[in-house]
Amino acid sequence: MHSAAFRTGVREALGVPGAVLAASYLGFGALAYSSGVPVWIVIVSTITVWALPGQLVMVDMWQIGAPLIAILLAVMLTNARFLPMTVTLMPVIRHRAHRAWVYYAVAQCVAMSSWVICMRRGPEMPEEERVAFLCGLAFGFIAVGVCAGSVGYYIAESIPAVLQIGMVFLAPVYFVVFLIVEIRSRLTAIALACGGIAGPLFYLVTPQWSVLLAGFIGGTLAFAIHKSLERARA
Amino acid sequence: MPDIWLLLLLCALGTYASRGLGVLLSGRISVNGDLFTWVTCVTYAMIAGLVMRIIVMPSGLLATSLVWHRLLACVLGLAAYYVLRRNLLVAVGVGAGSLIILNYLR
Repeated sequence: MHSAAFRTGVREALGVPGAVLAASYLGFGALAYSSGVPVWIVIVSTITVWALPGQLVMVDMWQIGAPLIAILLAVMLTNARFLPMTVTLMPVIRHRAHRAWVYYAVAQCVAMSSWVICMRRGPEMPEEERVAFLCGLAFGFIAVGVCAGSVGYYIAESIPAVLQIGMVFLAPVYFVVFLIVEIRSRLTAIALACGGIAGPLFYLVTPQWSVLLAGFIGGTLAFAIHKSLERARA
Repeated sequence: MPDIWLLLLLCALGTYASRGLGVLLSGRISVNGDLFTWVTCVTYAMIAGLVMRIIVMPSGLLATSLVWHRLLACVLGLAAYYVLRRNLLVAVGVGAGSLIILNYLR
């Protein structure tokens, strides 16, 4: 293991991206507290699932009493984006010094935060050090997530309800701002609009299946719109 | 309600499946096909759907605030992002802070 590259990764994670991650996990912790989930779920899910949208979906759907299969499908679909992300990351970190199982272990490090940085910084460093760098990044980010999540949980527990409402609102407002400012393409804009409208609508019809249906039907509709626009232009 | 620990175990495995499969398929598939475009659409739609629902029809503590307060707080957070040097931290702080103030002054 290249410990210098690992430390570089940890340092990178503890900078500005880590602060933003901390704010979102602080909010997730508070939301989990208000959903009546034990703090250990916040900690263990951050390490094992390691994907904030998926964790949010899991806690929210569990709280409204959705069936296990609906929650699992919704979480798997929100996290299915890791498949193409891992596929594109592998050529960046591959080196003959690593055995095959190393890649399967390192795959757990793939999440939006570490993927973005590793895709950008990875190509600048020696090939054999990139796996260590990615591990350092993920270690730093997960540590920040675990700490911020549990701190958020306990802050929400101990502050007056007047302030607690702001804590619980951190994660939703984070996603609203993040998703809107990160719109890079017409495709994502259409998908966000379709999902944003479908979510509340399906909730009126079937609360327990609403997230899954909003994603599946809203997303498929967005895909269809995107395809027909593409065809219209061609 | 399903047991939350069993649920977490399944969600962790289900999430890892995408990552592990990514390693397995790397170099063998193209990520620019229609399937992955669809996955991107579903991911964004699902997150947007959940977040909009939490804002428009929340449960628990957030339900004690007014819907237009929550929407206004989001707009203020977004405005803060563009006005104050495109800082996501500031934007999130302004959004959450404005909901606290709006709700307190009610």
